[in-house]
Amino acid sequence: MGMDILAWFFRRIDQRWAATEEEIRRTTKATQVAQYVAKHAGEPYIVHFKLSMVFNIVFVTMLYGMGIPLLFPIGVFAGFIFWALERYCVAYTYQAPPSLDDRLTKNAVSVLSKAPVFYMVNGFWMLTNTQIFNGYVAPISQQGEHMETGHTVASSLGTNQAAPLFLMSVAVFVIIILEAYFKEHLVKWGFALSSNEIEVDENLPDFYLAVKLSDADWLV
Amino acid sequence: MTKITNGVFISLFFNTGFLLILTNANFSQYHLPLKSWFNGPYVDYSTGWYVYVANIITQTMLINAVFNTFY
Repeated sequence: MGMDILAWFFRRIDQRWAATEEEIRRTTKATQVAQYVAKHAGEPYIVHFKLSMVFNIVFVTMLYGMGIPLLFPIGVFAGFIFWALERYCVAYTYQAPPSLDDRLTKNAVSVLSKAPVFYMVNGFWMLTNTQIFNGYVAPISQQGEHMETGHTVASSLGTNQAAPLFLMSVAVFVIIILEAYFKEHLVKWGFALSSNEIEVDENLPDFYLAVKLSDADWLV
Repeated sequence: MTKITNGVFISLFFNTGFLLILTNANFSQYHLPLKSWFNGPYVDYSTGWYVYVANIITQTMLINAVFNTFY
């Protein structure tokens, strides 16, 4: 958004702060068409960079969300700001984005499906902290020395507040391993649903040509 | 394009989610590789960790949330 304001500022300088519509259309310092287009076309839409920022917010929220629940409302707030700004900027300020296929969307679904693993594993470790939840203290021989935490994987297992997370983590890891190494064989042997994709070609034109005006209004 | 997305995401996630925690971590009580490299003040998710490191993580996330407005 800041870049768009900056671009608007440079465009207005190029137009010598013309006041009327007629002057705005006729005034420019550009001597070549390419210079004029570069000034007025807007920023390119860097969707891959935006997506990675969304992934980052989701993953950091999941990683520390169990210990810092404040991250969840912050994550929702960040998501809303992204949604609102991108919607506005795609409609009014960015260059028309290239026609993308569904690979980025499928990649996003694939990457985001790994986020709960971080939530469960790190959440398990946060919830089994011995000092906070069990009041564990150990003597230290010298001031400044680190106290023994008594926090090990073995001591964390058992029936406690973190047991559901542990069980879910184990289940998710088993699913991931099965999917990674055995899915192909299970499909081949008939123990899983076939993932045959039906390719439908409706012979539609480009998105911007195919979309109806009423749909375009709704999108904007 | 998916490779760029994932590459940028991994570097962002490492910087935001792991770098801070690693620089403040102390692995002296755990049998982990390169444990001598990690001599930070926090051995575990202690109360001090929540006061200092969690505070910075929360601030970073807040800045990340509004950063898109300025970019």
